Amino acid sequence: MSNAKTKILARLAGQSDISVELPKLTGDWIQYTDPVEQFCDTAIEISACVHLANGRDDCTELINRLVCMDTAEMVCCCAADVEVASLVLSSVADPHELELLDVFIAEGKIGVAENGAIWVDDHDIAHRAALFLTQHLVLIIKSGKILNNLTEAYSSGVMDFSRFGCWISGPSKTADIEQSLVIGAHGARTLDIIVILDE
Amino acid sequence: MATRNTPHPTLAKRFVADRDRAHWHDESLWFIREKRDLQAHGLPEWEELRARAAQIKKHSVSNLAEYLLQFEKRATALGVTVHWANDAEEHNQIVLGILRSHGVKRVVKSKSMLTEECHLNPFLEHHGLEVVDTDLGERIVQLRNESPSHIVIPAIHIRKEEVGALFSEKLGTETGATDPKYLTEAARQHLRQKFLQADAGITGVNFAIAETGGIVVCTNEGNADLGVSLPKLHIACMGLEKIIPRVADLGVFLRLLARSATGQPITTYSSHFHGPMYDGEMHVVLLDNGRVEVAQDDDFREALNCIRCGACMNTCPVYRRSGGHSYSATVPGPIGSVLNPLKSPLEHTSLPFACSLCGSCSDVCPVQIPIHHQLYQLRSELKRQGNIKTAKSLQMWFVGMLFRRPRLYRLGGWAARWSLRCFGKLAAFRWLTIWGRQRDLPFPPRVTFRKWHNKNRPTDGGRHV
Ligand code: SF4
Repeated sequence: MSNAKTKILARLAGQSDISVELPKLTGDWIQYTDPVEQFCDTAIEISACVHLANGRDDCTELINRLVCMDTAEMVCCCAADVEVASLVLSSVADPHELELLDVFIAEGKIGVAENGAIWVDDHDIAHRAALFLTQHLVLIIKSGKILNNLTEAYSSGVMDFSRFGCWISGPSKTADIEQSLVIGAHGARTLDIIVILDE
Repeated sequence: MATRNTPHPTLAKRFVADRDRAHWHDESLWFIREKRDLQAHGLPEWEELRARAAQIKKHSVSNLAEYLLQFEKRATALGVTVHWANDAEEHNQIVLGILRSHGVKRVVKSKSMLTEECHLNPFLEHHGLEVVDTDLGERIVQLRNESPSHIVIPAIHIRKEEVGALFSEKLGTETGATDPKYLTEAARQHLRQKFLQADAGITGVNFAIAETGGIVVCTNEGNADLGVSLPKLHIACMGLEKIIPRVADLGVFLRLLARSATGQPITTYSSHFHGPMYDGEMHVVLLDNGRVEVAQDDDFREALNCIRCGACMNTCPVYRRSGGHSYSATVPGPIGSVLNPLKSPLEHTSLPFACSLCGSCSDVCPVQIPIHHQLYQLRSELKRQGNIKTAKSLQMWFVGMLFRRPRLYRLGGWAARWSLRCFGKLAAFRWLTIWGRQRDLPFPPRVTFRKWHNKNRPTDGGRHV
């Protein structure tokens, strides 16, 4: 055992036991009559663009018509069943090769109505850098995967805590210069969210 | 031997000398406080969330050993190397050791108050490494050779004209340009190159999860993620108190953090790192640096609940009007005025007094730290340790004595009214006390409260005083 570890643990051993109980996480947390609508409203408020799609085909069509796709040269899609001409991420050896990535498309596992965030993990994404390096990000979420609040999300059993995962809400932003909000700090300049409505 | 820092009032005086700037600073922070209020009021369960968060933190701080060991075990199983450090010196050596063993030359760093606390940047630079802060605000203060003046908004004290001049000198932007959009774009281009060239990324840690061995880092800019997704080496530095027991506790903390910090429902990116990236390496450094001592202090333990949201700074009337640099400390503002004197009382004697005891900090704190009570208590502690100037002690002794003796108090009241009437403003003793310098004195009332009360008191039992 490292010296510092022994010392720190020895110091902690003398800690007086004030035994405060660990509280339960169940509670009267916020519920919405229409979580999907609330999700869309919140996402728009935090500068994302939201599009509603009826099924996968519609989703493909919507994506191909997005403004960010107009001039895009390098596009990469990691979402299943979306037909977009794209680079295969797993064939890229080094994430540095994604420097010029224009559009990245991925599918989220959960959406949260209270904060407009989408949970994305790197299960289907060979280089997580793509999520942050891309100029424009497109996230797909099924309306049935939209929950009311974060507590519901963490207890949904859908999140995988053995790999990288991230809540993404809106495009990257900063207000570090005189509190003026600027969209497009280091990460994506725009975020398009495609909500696939339940058939 | 610790030396006293320049006291807060002296530095604050310099800050307020520029009236316009001080006023602007005050307003910018209040604007954020208002955004926070909107978010807090938008959630009916806000107070319940605060209570739960406080309880989770209290529980983990009182069971640190258990949770740290659990975290170490789980993180190790995910392929992370966990290091322990007693103090800043050890912390820096560990980080340097890791970087050297990989032959690293260029490091990108995202915002971390802990590495500021350890002065990691100058240490690494001294050893020949390039360290680039990638949070926009932090990059601005780094290019100015300054330290952050706020823990969430490091460059809150700097005007856009100054950023424009700085960038035109260092990054070659157009002279005279002040548009935040243009300046941010220039920083984006400049830092993209740094991300792509970096050999290693260093981040702070917002939460470390004992149950899963993961860490969570929250940013709006995406700089932390870029910094540890391009280079293969990720070093995360954290204070021991960042540990939380369960991953689901994040459902409480992430709902509070960004709402309290900037009035957003959640930060743009809340990244959960469980193990290194494919083909990469990840290290976590656990730092004590005085935290264990606070964890054992029954009076101040709750100060370790802090999730560094900055809300207490945004609301504090003293911080808003005196600026972060007046505190001469990595963490300024109300919570800094607790944490710094706890660690080195001699250096930071003036901080617990940089407070009007209005209690606004305790009201907004998402983890319910009784900050203003702690500040009050610290004052008596400093007095007991003999760390308080004679003038202040003498005043306190005098007032205390007066309040204990009703007759003397009455006589004093009479004398005060008399001198107010005869000498007016002179009675504030401007030349003698700091207190009188910014104050005007009222004209004394014709009838004293005591006289009035004795005349008007209810006849059934009202007391004659
Ligand atoms: S003391 Fe409370 S309000 Fe202040 S930074 Fe810490 S958590 Fe936020």
